[in-house]
Amino acid sequence: MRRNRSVWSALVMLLLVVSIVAAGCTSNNDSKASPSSPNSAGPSDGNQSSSPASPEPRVEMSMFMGNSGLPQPEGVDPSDNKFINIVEKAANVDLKLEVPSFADFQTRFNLLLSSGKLPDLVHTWLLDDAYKAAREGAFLDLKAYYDNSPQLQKYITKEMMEFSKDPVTGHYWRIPMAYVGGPEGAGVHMMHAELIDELNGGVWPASVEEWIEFFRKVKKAMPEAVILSNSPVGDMAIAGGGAVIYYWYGANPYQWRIENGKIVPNVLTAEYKEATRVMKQLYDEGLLDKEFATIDGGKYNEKTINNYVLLQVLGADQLAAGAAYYRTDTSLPEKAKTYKWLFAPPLANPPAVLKDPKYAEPRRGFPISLHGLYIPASTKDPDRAFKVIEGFASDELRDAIFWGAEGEGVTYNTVDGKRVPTDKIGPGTPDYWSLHLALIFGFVDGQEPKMAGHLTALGDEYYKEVYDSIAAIDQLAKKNGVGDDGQGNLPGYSPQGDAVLKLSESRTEISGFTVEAIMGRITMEQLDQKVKAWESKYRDVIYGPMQQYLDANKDDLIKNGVLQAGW
Amino acid sequence: MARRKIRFKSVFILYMLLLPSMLLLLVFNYFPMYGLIISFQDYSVFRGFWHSDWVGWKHFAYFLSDDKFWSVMRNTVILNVYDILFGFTAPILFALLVNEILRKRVKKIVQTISYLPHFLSWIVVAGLVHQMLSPVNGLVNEMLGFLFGMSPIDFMTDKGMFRSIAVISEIWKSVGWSAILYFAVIAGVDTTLYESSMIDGASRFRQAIHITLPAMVPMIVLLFLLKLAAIFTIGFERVFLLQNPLIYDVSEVIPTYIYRLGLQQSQYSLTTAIGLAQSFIAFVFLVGSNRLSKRWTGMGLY
Repeated sequence: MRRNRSVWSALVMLLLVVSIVAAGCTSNNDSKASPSSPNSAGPSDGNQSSSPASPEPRVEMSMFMGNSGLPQPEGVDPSDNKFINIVEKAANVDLKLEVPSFADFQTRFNLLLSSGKLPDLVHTWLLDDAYKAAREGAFLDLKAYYDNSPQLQKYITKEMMEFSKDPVTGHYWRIPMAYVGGPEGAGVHMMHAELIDELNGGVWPASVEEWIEFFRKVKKAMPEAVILSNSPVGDMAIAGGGAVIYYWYGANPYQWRIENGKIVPNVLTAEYKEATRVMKQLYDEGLLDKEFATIDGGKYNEKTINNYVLLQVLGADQLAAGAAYYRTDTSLPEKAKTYKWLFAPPLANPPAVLKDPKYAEPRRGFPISLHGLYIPASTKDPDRAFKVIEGFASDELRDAIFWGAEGEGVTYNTVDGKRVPTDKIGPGTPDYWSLHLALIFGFVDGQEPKMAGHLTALGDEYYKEVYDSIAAIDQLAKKNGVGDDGQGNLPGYSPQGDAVLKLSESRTEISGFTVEAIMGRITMEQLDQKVKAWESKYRDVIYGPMQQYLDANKDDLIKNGVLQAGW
Repeated sequence: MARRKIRFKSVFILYMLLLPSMLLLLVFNYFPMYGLIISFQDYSVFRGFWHSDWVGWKHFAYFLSDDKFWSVMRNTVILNVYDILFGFTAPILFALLVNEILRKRVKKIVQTISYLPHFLSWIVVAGLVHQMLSPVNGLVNEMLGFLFGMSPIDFMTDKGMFRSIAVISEIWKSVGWSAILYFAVIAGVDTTLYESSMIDGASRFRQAIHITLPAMVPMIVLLFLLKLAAIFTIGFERVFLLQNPLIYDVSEVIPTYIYRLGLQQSQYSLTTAIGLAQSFIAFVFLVGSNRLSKRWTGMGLY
């Protein structure tokens, strides 16, 4: 019996050993790229870009991309439509596109990376994941290609390309998406500016206290109004609609500021505590949505349309499109056409606790966004893959996306040498989804046709009000210089090791004690203790390396427009 | 020799029946074990097994010294203990109670209705739970407000509520289905035992305690041991769909932690190390509890 057991044990052990040896002998054909391969990438001789059509035979290429929240309408084939066909023609390829839904994008992208089987081209906005994979040999360095592509350089300047450089390896893994030409910064977006006229005599509240008074007036007049809600994003429980009060106090719980050369996480400031106290007051009074902590995106949107959610924090480049969408989209209820979208003017009387009004003011965005186009090292024909990228930078595609086509009563007519848009341009129109193909030009490009489209949708008076409110945010943002890199880091800094691993944990903890304090489950004194515990656990791990980066690069940062580096 | 041959011939067909299961076990459970070596590497899918850097016990040392890991481990065990205390006993009680229903038609209807939630996916069940417990127009809060004048409670963000919600929703979903095995056991109990006990004057309660329950014991022990073996694992979907960042302190369990760390942060080596350690502990636990069970009850898995 004992002998039998020994034999079985030996057999099982043998099996394990064989399986480990088998693992060792398994070749991974799809991961042939070694870490050194990125350095060798570049256009082959005599094949130097930018010709609109290639003499080479047409080939099939695969591409993974996101729709950035603007899906193709039903019946439109992502791999065969009038927009993507322009790219295909320019690169002489048949593109097979895989476009997951916006909600699934992160999961699908992570699964793609973990499979190790990459298509010929990849578009993503998940920079950390993409760069991490690139450092392990997943993607090619595209600098040599870029340097040989005048067409690409037309839209992506050398300065932008430099900003896209991986701070860890010095490689250029992506062709970034431009983020220039549109209004800058973010502001407090009033989704029902018509109520300012109806209930406040047309006078905008000038302080937090006056806003709260206004909230009470609205609640009294419309008891069903939600007033303030929230739109949690992943581990950040306070965002969008829930971040308004923190915006006015310059103390978004997940962000940081620079005070006398030191990076100070906002949760450690007096402004954060005061803002949290105000949020608690609003919650107790029923002026903050009772389900603010767990509401999902769908429900939030539903409430903004049907239940009078008044404010949210919004990017300046999104307001006009949103306002036009509410006026033109036929799927929205009829009453939505009466909603007036404007940015609330910056507070004339900022909170007394605020150390300096600049902390509560908008800042400029980075000249490139997180989006980028990557060529995997496993691509059989990197030259042709780069031609696809050039296709995405073609003037023809830009014209098609932003202006559409003339004639056939489509999107514009030429009058006296100038393009005049019809009402079939802009948000809510059948081809608006094509904006998600502006992977090089950027979603804020094409301001001229966009503004023309908005004018058509909004009418002269409302159009002026919208753009005046945007200008106020834009001017302040430009005065204050570049904020962060779009991921909450100083531009050019890339967190590593524990600073990455602990980030989500840290945010979760901030979310936890902030929400508990707002709901009154913990006192303000207990909040102080929790903040202290958070500081001892996470401050050095997450912000220590960024502080070192700031100390070492302060002058360069200021020179590159990151003015807050000198604050 | 001839005897052996005859014996082999007689059981050959049985071995053939066993073969597909053995193959499945080998292909899906044993062969993938070679992947465990990545727990000793800084594994990169793009570098492959032999080009990734070997780092020894680094990942084991990391998670064993990480507070978060121990908090996740504690949550997993606590939730499993609650599942055993309430979730494991619920089908036993349910089977005993349903067995006492005299009218066959009613019994069948109760059984069928109790199976139904098993066929709902967790996404539907979690949606129902969120809707019912919502502080805005949620059924439970509406009732509490109507009956006791209470202000709405945000159940889903209350750390003290999560485990109760998770256990109750699991019981609701699986009690009928889990009771099937017990129904089968009860159906096999010799009816003469009940008749004799009735003649001896035993009440229905006594019959349940002294006849039905003892008949169920072997099955209870078997399922209990299997449950113990899985004490460090837990259904991913239930916890993932019922949790939110505000209650990660109590709701983050090993599978959700591995998902967040592994898939979302691409820490494949670290999560494989965690999985390996978890399997090792579970293995020790299973062998230990099987031995104890054999010593105390004379019954075991093997």
